[in-house]
Amino acid sequence: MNKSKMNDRIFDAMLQAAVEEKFQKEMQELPQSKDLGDEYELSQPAQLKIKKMIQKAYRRSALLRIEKISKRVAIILAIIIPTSLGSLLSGEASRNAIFNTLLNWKSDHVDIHYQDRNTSSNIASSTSSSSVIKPTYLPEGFFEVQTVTVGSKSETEYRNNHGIKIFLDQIPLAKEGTIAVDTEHTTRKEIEIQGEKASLFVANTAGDKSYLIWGNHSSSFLLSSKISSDQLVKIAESMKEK
Amino acid sequence: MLLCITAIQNDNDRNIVERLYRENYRWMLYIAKQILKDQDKAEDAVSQTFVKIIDKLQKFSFEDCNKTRGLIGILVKDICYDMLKAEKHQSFIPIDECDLPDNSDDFPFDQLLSKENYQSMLSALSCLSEKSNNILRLKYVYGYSDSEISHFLNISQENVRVRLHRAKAALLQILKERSANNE
Repeated sequence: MNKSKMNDRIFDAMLQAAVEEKFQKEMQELPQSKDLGDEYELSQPAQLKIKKMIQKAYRRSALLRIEKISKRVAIILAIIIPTSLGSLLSGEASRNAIFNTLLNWKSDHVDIHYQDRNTSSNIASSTSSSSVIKPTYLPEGFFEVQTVTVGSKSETEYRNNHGIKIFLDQIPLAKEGTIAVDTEHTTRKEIEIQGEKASLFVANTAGDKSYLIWGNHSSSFLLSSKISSDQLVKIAESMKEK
Repeated sequence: MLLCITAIQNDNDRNIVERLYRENYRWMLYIAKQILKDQDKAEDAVSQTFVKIIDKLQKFSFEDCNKTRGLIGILVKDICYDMLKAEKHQSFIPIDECDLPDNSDDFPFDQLLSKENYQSMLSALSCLSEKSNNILRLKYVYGYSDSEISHFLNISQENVRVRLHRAKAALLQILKERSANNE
């Protein structure tokens, strides 16, 4: 070791000892909280502010952790769900659409964003001319209220006199879109609709919605309602081109 | 299951913050009032310190409660002096804030190892600014790396290195002057 390095080491060692000694002395001289009088009491607004900050930080930290975990879950689901939902839709176009699916798994629902990037022109043309498919069966008392078309997505609302609603979303496969499914209060089942695999999210309680997702050669469908899941299946089975 | 574990961890974290708050807010206010001489500003400094504590919670898990208190103290002081600086109350420039020449070459290191010089160094530390003392404490008492210090104080690593260099240079300068006076 050369002289300069040795000098540095000696200086550092002395400095460390001195800093530690000074620190310990200062800590001993500091009064304990219990020995401090009321003049060192925080005002009510300041106490409230700090307590709110702690609450806020707790919530933020919880959200961050959930988000972190959700991202991990999304990666797992990105592998699992395309495999299970991939068989939902028939034909090559359907599979292309599913494999380009981006799943955004949140704490209480799944957003399924899809875009058929591999769609060839003939698929696009066939889907662009896809006809409207509607149910031939509706539970007793239900009637069609309206159909709203936003972009490529159309949503038909059915209602009965008790105000219970059924929504039917239809989205062409070759277009971009998002299906949001509230999975928090549901139990997922694999079923078949018109010979094609489908996913049924059955509501856990009467107050929650059930969801049914399936597809055919040109469109994907989402039925959602608070009516029984059996009725949703019946409606789906009755779907025909009009 | 994952979510359950997460919830427990968060509850623990919240308990730690709440305990730190209950046990320390009074003397934090005591330190802040000593520096800022104003109840409202001192309370603001304590609040700001808690924001940092929450942000860097993993740093406050010492078994030695004096170390926890010391680290909280460093944060309170750092925030208070930042507040003073922002208000431009600081009309003087501490010796370690100046650009000092690296004059270690002509320092009689062979005479450094003595009780007198150690005492001189101890008292010279009091001449340094609180900011420099904070850096030295984080470096030598807590053993933090430059990167950890920069993260803890929200300053750049370059700034940490500059402050450390200036603190040491200032100490050498003081020791040299005292040594010359004794001669």
